Amino acid sequence: MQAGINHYIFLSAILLGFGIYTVIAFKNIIRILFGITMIFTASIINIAAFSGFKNFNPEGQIFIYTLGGMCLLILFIGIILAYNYYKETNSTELNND
Amino acid sequence: MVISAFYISFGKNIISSTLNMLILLLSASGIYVMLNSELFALINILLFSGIIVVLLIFFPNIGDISSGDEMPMPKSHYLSILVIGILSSLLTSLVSSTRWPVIDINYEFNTFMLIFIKYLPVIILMAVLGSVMISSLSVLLNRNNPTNK
Repeated sequence: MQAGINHYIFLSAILLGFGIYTVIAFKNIIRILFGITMIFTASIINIAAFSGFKNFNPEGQIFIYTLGGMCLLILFIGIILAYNYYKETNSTELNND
Repeated sequence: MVISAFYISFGKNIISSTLNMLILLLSASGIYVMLNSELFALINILLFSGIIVVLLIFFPNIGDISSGDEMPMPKSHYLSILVIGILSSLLTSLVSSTRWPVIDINYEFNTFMLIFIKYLPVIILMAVLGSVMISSLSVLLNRNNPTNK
């Protein structure tokens, strides 16, 4: 069976659900970063499925690179902030106090 | 991929979640190869997986963090799992039942170099934006760090 475009969209929707749950439900900073990465991966798979399923599409590729760059920036900033938070509080759990 | 995503969310400690994140990123790059975007698959393997490894190495007491009881599961979480699951299944059933048109795009020269010829300003803009954000953040962090004074 050849994978159709619906399979990729299904996969990205599942990843999006897990990512949103991870961002909402947990207090650990590293796990929240993983959730954000999962959400970005889901959106990139979606765009790649629509742009490059049949043939090569440069517009879709430029969207993919833009999203990947944004995801890398957000991960970089998140890692720096998480490291600073860990140095201040000696913990990676977010407090609601 | 779905199993590793499940273990990222519901894994017992951070180390297993991190290794599952690595597996997820590698399998995602395999999907990118299947979808005609090989360069982004390479970037995904090199940069994203590298960031995960750096995250593992540079968090100093990650073993101590993971040994703690860091994931209590209150009952409200089960409700949120249920709501997100119902919404995801609705979305996926809606999307899967739709017949998406696959359009044949006929460009004059439909090559990979078109990205760097036609869309070079977008790439330069992204690079400039990223460098400004990173430099401003590093300046802010150095200003707030009392050890640098």
